[in-house]
Amino acid sequence: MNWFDFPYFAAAATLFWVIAMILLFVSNKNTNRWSHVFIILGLATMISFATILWVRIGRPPMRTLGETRLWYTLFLGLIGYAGYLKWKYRWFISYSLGMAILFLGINALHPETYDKVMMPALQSPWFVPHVIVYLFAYALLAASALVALKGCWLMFRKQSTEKLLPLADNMVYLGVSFLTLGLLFGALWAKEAWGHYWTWDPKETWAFLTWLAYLGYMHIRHFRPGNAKTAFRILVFAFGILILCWFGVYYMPSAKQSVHTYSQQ
Amino acid sequence: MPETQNKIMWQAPWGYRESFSISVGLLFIGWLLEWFSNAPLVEIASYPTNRYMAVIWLTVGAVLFFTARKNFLVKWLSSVPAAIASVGLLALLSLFLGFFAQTPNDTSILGRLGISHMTDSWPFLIAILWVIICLEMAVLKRIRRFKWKDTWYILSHLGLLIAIIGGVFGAPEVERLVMNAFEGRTIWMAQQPDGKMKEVPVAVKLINFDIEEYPPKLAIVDNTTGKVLESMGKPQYQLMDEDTLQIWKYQIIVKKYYSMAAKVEKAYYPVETIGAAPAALITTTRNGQTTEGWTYSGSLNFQPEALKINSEHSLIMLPPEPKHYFSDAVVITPDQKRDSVRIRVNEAVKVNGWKIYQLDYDTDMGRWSNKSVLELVHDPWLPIVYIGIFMMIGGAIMLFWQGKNNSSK
Repeated sequence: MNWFDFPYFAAAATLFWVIAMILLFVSNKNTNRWSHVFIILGLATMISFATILWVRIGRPPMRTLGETRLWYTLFLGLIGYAGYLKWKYRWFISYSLGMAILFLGINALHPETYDKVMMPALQSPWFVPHVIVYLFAYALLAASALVALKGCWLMFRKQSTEKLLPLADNMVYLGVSFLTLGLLFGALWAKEAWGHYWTWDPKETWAFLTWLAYLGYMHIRHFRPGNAKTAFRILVFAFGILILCWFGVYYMPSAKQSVHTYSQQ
Repeated sequence: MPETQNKIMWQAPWGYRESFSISVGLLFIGWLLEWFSNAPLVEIASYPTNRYMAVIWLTVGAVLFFTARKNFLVKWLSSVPAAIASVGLLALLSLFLGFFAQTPNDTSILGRLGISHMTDSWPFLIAILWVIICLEMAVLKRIRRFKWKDTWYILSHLGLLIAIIGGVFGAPEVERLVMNAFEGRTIWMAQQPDGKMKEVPVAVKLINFDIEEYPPKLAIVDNTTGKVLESMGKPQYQLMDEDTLQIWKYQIIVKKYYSMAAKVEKAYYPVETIGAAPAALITTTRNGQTTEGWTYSGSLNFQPEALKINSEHSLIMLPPEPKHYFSDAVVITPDQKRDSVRIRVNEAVKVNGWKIYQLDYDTDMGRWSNKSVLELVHDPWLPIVYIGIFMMIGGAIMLFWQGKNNSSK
């Protein structure tokens, strides 16, 4: 079994990243530098594992569920770190590393999934990027909804929300950049797998609606930056649509035939 | 341009109230057209009308912008309220589309208003035309006074505009045909969505259709109920990819395994006949009690066989699931150029401007199917759509890197 060494690599990466996160939350310049070191060590561990696996099996490891999760881990770490370098949000890198560790854990606990069946339509180089960018988009937009809820609460208590709005705005901007990538990667994948880039599949339609809702927010904010109350409300509403798109689509009359329903035994 | 509260409606400059009123008006015009027009929109907007429509509509926008840039109407078209209202109308229609099942030839009120065939309806076309002209104005405005920091704006807005133009005006020219290819035969006719056959400029001679399968799954069933045993609410199916497995409370050892086998008297032997299916000689152990015997997944020609472990439980083998299926074929173009190709899911083949997709096969026959269902797609506007998509990808990456503060100043 080529995955034989996986638990050791997974344990090492997890350890590095947990240390990095602990150091991050002890605010002090020195520890911050060390947290960078540990994040990079964890990334290097996973990159080494992916490389060794790739060389050993002689093909890109992108075919099974277990292999897919390996890429989730790697890219969550890499994009999370890049985002952290740029934006210095500690919660962002913590979320990314937390999710990365979660996928490492799932893989370590379910060795049988390394070779689990994956239906032919999902075996595509687009699968991993499509899912990863949505993981980031949903996380950032969920964070923006939390900020908006806090804003609504503070407004209700007649307290200042001055600092919250710029934070919510930036999260939406970053979230929408990922949301756009997710939508477009999905379109490119669909062209390769199903023959057309956009077929108004119910899931596509709802993803499009979610995208429009956040575009609406960005434009309204740009046009009249002063109105915080409307901004917070729109954000909470937009996240509602996102949740509908994520969980609700299968229960709608339109969802009788959707390529996003994967029946599993 | 801030909107003052005491401004009289329809007095320039127009804001949200006027913009949304126009959206509502356009929606009603769309519904009226849908209700009273006799010819379906699909026929009106077919080739070459779609190309004239694209040229005329974009030219109207450009002429308006370059001749009357300072006119309040043109200013309004490129404003945020117009953008929000046009996108709002499109969002409302998409909401209908996302909620109601889409059924062509629906004669109920939903059908007559175009709601159950939304993407071919007048309201949808009008909403998109409105979005297009607003986008065009906004893009021209930014391009006219271009600054480098607006690059992400231009990439995302112009990219979206280009992608929509390619997708919407190109839609009538997209051809998606289904071809039933049979081993050994050369076929150049394919079926249109309306059921009519059409000659295509690509002939396909199917050499061989085949399926690569995963190992079969094993499960334990209750002899009285026939149900698969569960653990923590999940049916316990296990992929037979190793020689020893643990299913439910049984230790399973696979002593012999043939991926293609058939029964001869009491045992299974490897054979290559049609309908040969996986068989395994298995030993199960629980609480020191051991049972040994054959289990067989069965196929179109042969009965499956379960291994009866004891009075309570039996072990069954499920038919294997496809890992890949593919068609090896020779494609021939009208100039007699021949090419050997392998068409598989997620790996379409491009021939003579057409993309050939592996769509389906005779599922009753499984891997012995000598019929392969292919989809042939022709979309001359695709390069335009791709230019738009890649510009938007560029814009999204820049947006991530710049964030709010550097993007919207």
